[in-house]
Amino acid sequence: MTLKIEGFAAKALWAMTVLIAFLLAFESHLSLPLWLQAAGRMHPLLLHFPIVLILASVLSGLLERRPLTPGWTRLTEILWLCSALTAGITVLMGLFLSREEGYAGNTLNWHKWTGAATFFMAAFCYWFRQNKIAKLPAGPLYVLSACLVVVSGHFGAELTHGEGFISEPLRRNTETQNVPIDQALVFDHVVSPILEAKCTGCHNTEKAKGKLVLTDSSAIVKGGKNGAVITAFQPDASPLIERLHLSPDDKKHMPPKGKPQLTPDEEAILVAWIKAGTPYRLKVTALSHQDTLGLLAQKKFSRPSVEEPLPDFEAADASVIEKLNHEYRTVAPLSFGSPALSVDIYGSQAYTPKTLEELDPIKKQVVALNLSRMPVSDADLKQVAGFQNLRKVNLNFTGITAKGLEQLTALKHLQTLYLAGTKITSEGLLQFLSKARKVRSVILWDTGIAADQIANIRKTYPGVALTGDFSTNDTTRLKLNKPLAKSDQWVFDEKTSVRVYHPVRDVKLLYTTDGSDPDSLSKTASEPIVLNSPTRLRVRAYKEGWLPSDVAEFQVFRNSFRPDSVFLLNRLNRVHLAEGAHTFFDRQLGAIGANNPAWANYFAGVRNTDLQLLCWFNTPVPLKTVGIRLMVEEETGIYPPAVIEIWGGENEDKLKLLAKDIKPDLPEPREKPTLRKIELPVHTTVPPKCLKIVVKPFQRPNEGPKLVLIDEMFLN
Amino acid sequence: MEKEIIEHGYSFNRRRFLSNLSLGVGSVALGSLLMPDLFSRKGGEADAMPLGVPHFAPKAKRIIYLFQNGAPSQQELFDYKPKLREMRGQEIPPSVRGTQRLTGMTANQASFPLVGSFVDFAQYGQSRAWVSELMPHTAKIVDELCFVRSMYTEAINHDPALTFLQTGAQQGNRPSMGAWLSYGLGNLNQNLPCFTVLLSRGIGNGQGVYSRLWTNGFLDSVHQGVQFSSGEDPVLYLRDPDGMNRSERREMLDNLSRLNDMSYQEFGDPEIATKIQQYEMAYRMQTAIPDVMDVSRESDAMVKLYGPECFIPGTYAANCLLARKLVENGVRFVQLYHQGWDQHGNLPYEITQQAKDVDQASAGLIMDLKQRGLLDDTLVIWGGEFGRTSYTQGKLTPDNYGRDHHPRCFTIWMAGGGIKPGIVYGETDELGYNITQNPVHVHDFHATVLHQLGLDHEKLIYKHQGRRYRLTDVAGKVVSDLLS
Repeated sequence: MTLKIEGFAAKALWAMTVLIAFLLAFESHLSLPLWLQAAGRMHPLLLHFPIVLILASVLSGLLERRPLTPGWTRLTEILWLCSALTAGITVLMGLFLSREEGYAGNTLNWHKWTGAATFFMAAFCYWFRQNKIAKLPAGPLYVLSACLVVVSGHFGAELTHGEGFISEPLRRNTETQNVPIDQALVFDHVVSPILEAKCTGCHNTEKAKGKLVLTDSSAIVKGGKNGAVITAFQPDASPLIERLHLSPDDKKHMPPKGKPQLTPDEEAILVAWIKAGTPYRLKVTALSHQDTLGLLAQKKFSRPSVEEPLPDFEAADASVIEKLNHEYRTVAPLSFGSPALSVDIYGSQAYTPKTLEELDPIKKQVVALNLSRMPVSDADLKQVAGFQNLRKVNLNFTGITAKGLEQLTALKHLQTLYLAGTKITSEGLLQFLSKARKVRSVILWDTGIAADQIANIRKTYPGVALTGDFSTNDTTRLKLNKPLAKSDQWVFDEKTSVRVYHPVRDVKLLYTTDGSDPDSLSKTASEPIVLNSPTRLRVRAYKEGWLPSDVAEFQVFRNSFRPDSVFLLNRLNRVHLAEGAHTFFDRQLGAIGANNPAWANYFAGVRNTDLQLLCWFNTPVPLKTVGIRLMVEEETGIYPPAVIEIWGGENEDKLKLLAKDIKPDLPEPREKPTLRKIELPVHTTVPPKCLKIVVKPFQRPNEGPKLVLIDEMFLN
Repeated sequence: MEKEIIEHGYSFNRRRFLSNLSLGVGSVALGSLLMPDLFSRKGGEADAMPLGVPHFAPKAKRIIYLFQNGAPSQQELFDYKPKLREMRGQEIPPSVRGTQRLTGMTANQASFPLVGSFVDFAQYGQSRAWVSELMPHTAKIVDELCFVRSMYTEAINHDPALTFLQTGAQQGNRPSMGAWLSYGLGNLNQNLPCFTVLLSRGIGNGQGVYSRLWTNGFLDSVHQGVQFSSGEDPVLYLRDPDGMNRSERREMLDNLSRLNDMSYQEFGDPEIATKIQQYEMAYRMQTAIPDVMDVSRESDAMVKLYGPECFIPGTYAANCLLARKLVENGVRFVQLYHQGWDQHGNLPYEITQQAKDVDQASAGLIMDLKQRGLLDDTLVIWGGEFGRTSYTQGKLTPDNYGRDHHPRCFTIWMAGGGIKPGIVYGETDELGYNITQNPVHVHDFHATVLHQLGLDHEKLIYKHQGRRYRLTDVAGKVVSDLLS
């Protein structure tokens, strides 16, 4: 009979092994019917069986050599079978339980795998005893099983009771967060946590820096090596506070430089506590709301630690939501599966009060509403007040006033309110806050509520975060950036005009044309400046309350004679072709910086040959000067030319040398890149009809020739 | 013993084998009852979540990514290493350098002398974060920021590293972060593109940025980033041609969409539907964009916050101001690039200029978002594509040096969007060469960013050419220490 039952149980064990292995392998696909979830909850009850049974089996297995009673081996065998079976059931239940909400993380993983290993181990021990196929030593196997039970059990205990459950009584309990306010003590739960966070790292019984210990009240009263650190009722005379107020660079400043410092609130709490005479046993609730310490302590406790869960309301119909969505209104669930909706409205021109009215079918579901920059008036807020579950309303830069705000007190769940750039008043807000109890955060920047008013409201409602202006007493004067300029013609033949401007409003632009620095006496550039000669226009921007800008320089160039045709006798450098010979007379000025389009398109150059440019004019030109604008960038080997020659005559076969320049002004090593204009005077009695301009690249002995990059040529 | 084994063989007969087999199969069958969808074909698709809705309640709704292109040197900005100054000119110890690859630019260098920062550092705020003198405005707001000093990447050159940070792969045919967000969350404001790109350039050595960094990859082209330019037309080809008024435009679009619709009915190509949508959006953008781009109504206070350059189109400051205006108007992802951070040489001069370009505007953006209450649900990220070496590239002179690419550690900061403010996360060794604590891989960074927007990076999936793709490829872990 026993044999039959055992055989049946052994088969069950085999089936269970396969089942568990399968479930573990495809765990992520598991979805459970409700009754199995209920079974899963039996796990904490069942687990005690395998623990006891496996430990008993191990013990009995180890004693096998000296059996206490006859039939001991048989007893051990059955014990192992029972262990494995109960372990299996426990593992299954555990797997079901782990699918429930709230089970995740490393501890669970460890528990799951050690638990499963315990089961497989127990099953293996049973089969191993049944069929002695291998010569494995039994002792170590048993011990291993026992260890697995203990480890797995430990992880399980951590899951149920929380981490560090066993060692908890050994550690000092420093948690104050969970103390309800009516039981909280001023010293234990408000003052002491600050000392513990910022001071007792050094001032504890082990380290006791400066012989000062701040861990308990008697030690605090005793003080350090220089005597008492606290004078009751006199924070200013207490060394503890003095040290906080020293300059952070002072050696005696506490906490020392580099360690976490006290927040203003924390500091205020310590000061207020000493001022109140260092009460050690006083309850937080015993403090008056008007008292500084009372306010600060209340604030510490009033902060909601977790967000309030959403109340249950049914989801709106998907087709309704879809219908409400259009280009200027986005209605979307907060997250997948959530009935709560968030609504964003855009396009101030498209906005009408109807935009809100149409949201009526989902007024229960809207929890966040963004109306920023919409022409919303106080009247529209009546509609908003109907969205009973609203948490967050953005009314930044809308037309609402304190009067409209009053209506929002109907919103019982409102937590965050954006009011930046509205005409809200301090009184209006105070009144609103007195009724809207759940509000935790209000944005008040750019509202006309002054910083000191905000500070007052803060005092009355310490639990509400108020965001105001950050730069109230910022008196630093900023420097204006350089003025900018626009012109249709930077290179002109007779005259041109330049419009100088500045992106900052109401800026005064003063300029000179003689190359000197503009100052407050210079001319004002209110209209486009008309110029009829090559000029260096220097402009500076002024504005009250700002530092004047650096001088911006803009150059205009004249080119009186534009050749009627041009031709290059030699090839340009392969990568510096630009528009060929036309580049030099295209009236487009180049700029420095290889990434600038004006670099690649407006400079043409030579390196390995001379530049030989022929220019023809339909009528002879009374040429006086030839100017060449070029780039010099020492680092990349862009140099001024070694030689410039100007030849002129009636045609290309009858040319005479008119001018020559052989003294290049070489750049210093690592000199900053510059744009230069080289001008050569031309001496001729007969106006030429044809010009040949020759430019020879500079070359040092034993080095390759340097690149010459020419932007424009000016013939005058 | 041999006999016993043979006997065991006999005892394990066919009957026993079959009965055990049937039991086993039975158990599997029993188990499979609990897994209704195991053998159905849905599999991976069932894991993928519906589109257009966050998978769980998000902390952030929008992202502004202030990309510092070229890789700013962490040693001169946020990762304070006094030891490097002490050891100036000494060879980097081989134990620190290890055997990893170097770039072609320094691999053949005969010596690797260490060099410390040429600027001083100080600690600021409650968090006592170290910030260099180059970033005075950023120093003032450290308590809003979360510095990650232990970022690391796999790529060693700009383009692959940049592509890796933007798309989660080095090769550059995958969708960009912004495209993934557009795909996963959809648009907040139907009148503006979901994903916009703004470019600016400093005077430092620059590296290119290409439109494939804001590509939609294999996603629908509607998810592509739209580049705003600084010229007269912020969005190119948006303006009506001369002589065409708005009603004619409307009529033209209506007819065009009818035609497009016909061909969609015939061929069913989803790109046609995308095209119809894009025409419509462009039409609405014609009024929405000028409204957003108009800075003339911004007050002087804004200039003080972002710096006076903020009204000059095309500057970093102007782009920061614009980024704020865009997120205020419901743009999901604003991608800025500021070029010029590649200081292989001439580092002291160039990095000073680069820092001047970005410091005030970046800090101003954070405070501006904060005072409008937008920082709570806007995630701002500041950082480059990798770090720079602790040794100098080229010659070390008394007042000049350079630093080469260094993928093994770099510093970024984040703010808002549910990221813990006022913390410094991760640590590098005293020579700033290797990470010693809390390394954060690019995939981890992506996973964390997606998590803040309510997206499970393992479930934001797109199947393309038979493979399911994610922004985080097959890796990435949310760095929960960074979340508030």
